[in-house]
Amino acid sequence: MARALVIDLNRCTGCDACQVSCKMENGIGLGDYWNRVIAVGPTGTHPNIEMYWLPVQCQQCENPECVAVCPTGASYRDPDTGVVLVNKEKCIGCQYCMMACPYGVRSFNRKEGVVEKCTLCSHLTADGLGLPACVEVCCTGARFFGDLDDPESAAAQAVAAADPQDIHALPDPGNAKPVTRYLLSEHIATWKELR
Amino acid sequence: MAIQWPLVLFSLLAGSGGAVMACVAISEFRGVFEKTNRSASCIALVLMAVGGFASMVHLAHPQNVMAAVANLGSFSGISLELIFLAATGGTTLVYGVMVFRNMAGVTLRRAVAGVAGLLGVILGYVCGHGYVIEAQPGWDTETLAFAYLGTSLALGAFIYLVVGAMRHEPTEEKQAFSMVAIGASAICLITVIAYLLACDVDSVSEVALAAGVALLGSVGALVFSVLMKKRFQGVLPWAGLVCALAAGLGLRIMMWQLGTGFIDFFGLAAASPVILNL
Repeated sequence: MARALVIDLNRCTGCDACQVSCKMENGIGLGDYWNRVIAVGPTGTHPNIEMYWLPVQCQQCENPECVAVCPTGASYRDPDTGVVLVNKEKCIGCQYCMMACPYGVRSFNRKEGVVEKCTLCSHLTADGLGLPACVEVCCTGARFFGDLDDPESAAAQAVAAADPQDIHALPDPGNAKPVTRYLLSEHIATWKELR
Repeated sequence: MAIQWPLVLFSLLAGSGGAVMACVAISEFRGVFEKTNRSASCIALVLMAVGGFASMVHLAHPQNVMAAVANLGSFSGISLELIFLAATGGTTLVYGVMVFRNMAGVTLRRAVAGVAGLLGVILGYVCGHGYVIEAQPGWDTETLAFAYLGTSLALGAFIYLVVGAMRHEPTEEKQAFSMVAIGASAICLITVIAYLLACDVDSVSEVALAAGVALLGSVGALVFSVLMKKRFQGVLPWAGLVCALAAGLGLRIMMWQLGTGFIDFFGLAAASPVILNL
């Protein structure tokens, strides 16, 4: 199983609702984030200017380096769901996982002295019925959640419905294999390799 | 990435403590510097202990180190550091007890010093090896671990020679031991240059100061070790120590400055939520 997000950038308007809902649902402190929306561009010259919004959060890597470097096993990839999680009881706050995350999408909770990250709202989705808060509130229906290995899931169907050349993933520094997929069509904007 | 000073101090102090024990082992096998070896083993132990405490300060709560100790089997970077710190420290302690209480013969003493020295060298390496991760292009090269080792060896050799000078060891022996300092300083210079060439530096100017300090410190250490070999003077090991310290600090500061991440999205967003520089 590989639970993940599929984000349709053709629909994303950069409203930040996903960011806000994530903070509210997970009680994230002031100045900390588990997801963010970044504007890529504008690029080009008038009149051929383009840009798109890129929501970023944990990419639920298949081979997460954050898990490999964790000295206590606090960071782990749930074998049942494929979701990368942090067991706060075990976290010692060494922050090596933050250094090892290729995408810089982990946060250090100074109050609790632990590292936190997107859990795909596991407390809501554990039973396989609920949706992550960011998916629930997305006003343009740009976010899909589900098991990418299950053809019936919303995420897998969104990928299946897309033109293969419109399916993108963040660049991989080595063998991390990020699972999250982004959909972006050439007629909206050209996908930028950010490295 | 912000410079993590507790980790800078840990790797420098613990690594140099291990290197001091390597020098003790060399002297044990040569049958010289008995007084120095006593003091140096104490200093090595103190360096490793202070380094260990410095690393604990980096954790959210210092007592969290017990959780890391309980999970040594993970063989993560931190686990390896802890394993070799404890092994080197423990062997050094055994050696110290042996020499202070005259409890063992030369053969056993040499064997224990040899083990402590070997473990100390490995400690200097693993202190840098934990940072070799693909998510940090500026760190993702084994030359970083060797540069950590090289700077630790140079610093350890000069600390040992300073102790030797303070214990008034025979000048000709100190002069002879300068060959070890020359070797350590040469390894330091070579490994620092290798790291500078291998690391993925997008903008040299951003790390120029720290890189320059690391490079000049390494060159200075080599120069002073050569001068010691020619004519040993009391001030030379101190000058070499300052240079080796500068090399070690410069390398580690540069490493943290190069820790920009593969793509640091949250860092980028904190500065500006717009990526324009494509």
